[in-house]
Amino acid sequence: MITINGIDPRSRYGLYVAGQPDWASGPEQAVTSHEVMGRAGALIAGVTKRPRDLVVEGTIARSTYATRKAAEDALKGLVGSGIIELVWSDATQTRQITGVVVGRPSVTGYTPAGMSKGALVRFTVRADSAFWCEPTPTAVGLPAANNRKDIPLGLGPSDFILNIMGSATNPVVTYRNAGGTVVWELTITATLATTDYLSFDSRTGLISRYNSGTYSDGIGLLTTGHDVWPLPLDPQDGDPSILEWPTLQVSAGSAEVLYSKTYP
Amino acid sequence: MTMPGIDHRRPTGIIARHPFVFRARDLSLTARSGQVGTLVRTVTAVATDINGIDRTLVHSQPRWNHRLGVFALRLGGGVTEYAHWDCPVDALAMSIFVDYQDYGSIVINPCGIFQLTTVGSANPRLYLRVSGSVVTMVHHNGTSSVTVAMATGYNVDDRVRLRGWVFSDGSIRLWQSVNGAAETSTSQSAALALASWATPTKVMLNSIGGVEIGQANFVGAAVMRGNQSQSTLMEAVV
Repeated sequence: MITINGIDPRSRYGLYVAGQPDWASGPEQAVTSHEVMGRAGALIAGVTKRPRDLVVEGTIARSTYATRKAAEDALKGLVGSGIIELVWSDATQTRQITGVVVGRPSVTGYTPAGMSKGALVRFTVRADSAFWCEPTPTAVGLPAANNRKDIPLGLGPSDFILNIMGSATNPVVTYRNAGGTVVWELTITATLATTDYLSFDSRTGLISRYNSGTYSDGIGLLTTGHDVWPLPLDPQDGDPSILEWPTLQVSAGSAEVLYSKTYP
Repeated sequence: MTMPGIDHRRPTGIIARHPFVFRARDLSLTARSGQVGTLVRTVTAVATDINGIDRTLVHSQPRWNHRLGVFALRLGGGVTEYAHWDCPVDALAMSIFVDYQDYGSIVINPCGIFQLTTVGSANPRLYLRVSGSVVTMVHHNGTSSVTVAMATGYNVDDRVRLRGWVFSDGSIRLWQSVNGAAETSTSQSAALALASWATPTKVMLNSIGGVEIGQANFVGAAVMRGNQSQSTLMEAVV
């Protein structure tokens, strides 16, 4: 089953989705390689995961020609309404992605034209991510300072929100791989009272400070780590197949991290 | 290391055009309809993570919470805590919708679930409140009011979806769905002249006017123009 902006196109528009080619496939990788004289094979210079193009194919089936035409219009209006949210689900999984329709939403009525109650529909959504995400976020608490906490991820990188709660003086955020090696570290020079917290949002790169609920920009508090902020949480820093995860810790105060697991 | 997509959690087009749509799983107090939310809580409070571990959150920090399989904004529970957003409202028919997991509101008499008014509890206003262990809906136009009440309540820990309609003649009707079951409803109230809403009107969750604090994990809430079906409201919120 799919929904578009929360709408089930089957119940709303009579769209019976017959094909979702490549929805279950992994993201396309673009590889830049250079052949080197005297060497077999090639030098792999770079790998980029491409945005997904998701095709929806199906049939609109309505009880009259007029309702079919109305459903066609409504569906075209829905998928053409800027950024849309696609959610795909079955009995075991629910995955979400956002994107925009590329090209033209194709609608072809069955013959005889003008009388048919059905139409073929096909459109393609260019997703803004190579990865699907879980609609339900994950929250992990780091209730104590200097305590490494496993961050269970999906199989793709996740943006995150990290909140550090006071009291804390000059907290350091350390992200390690499963083997314990530091991958990145952020040092904040600030004193947080028991009513203050700092919020790191890797989706936007913003660091926000809240003193008793009053906001101020906190990016200037970042003393070291400008070169790594914002980097994501990445399951490649662990071994998801055996549930070995990267860890986070803060050196002072307590913290929470909020994110959505992503999947290829 | 591979970076995620540019931002796969941004609001979508049409939803942002409704008067008010809030969804907890967006991990932001900024509503999908664009309004920046305000969380009111001056003391520390506790939220629960995916491992069932409590974490203590500080002054004004939203409690994004996992409990009973629901991800939600946790409000109330022994502390004065509520959230509010500006919401444009006209003297027209409208629908309100709240989706929450109750962890105590139903046994608090009275307590607020949803309020639409200016700051405080001035009339005119439209609100959902637990009173007498059932949910009631009140539409007060500044002079007089109409009230409807559900015939039955529900239990603590239930997942509840409330849908309220203000009809074009000012009458109201309330629907309640518990744990995903079919909705039950009140009858339609008497007519009432529609309120002339002040600016800014605010949506408030978990309180009536900053008092009558409830205990609920809010999954989402919405205000839409016209009298909308449960499925339409859920499409935006859930």
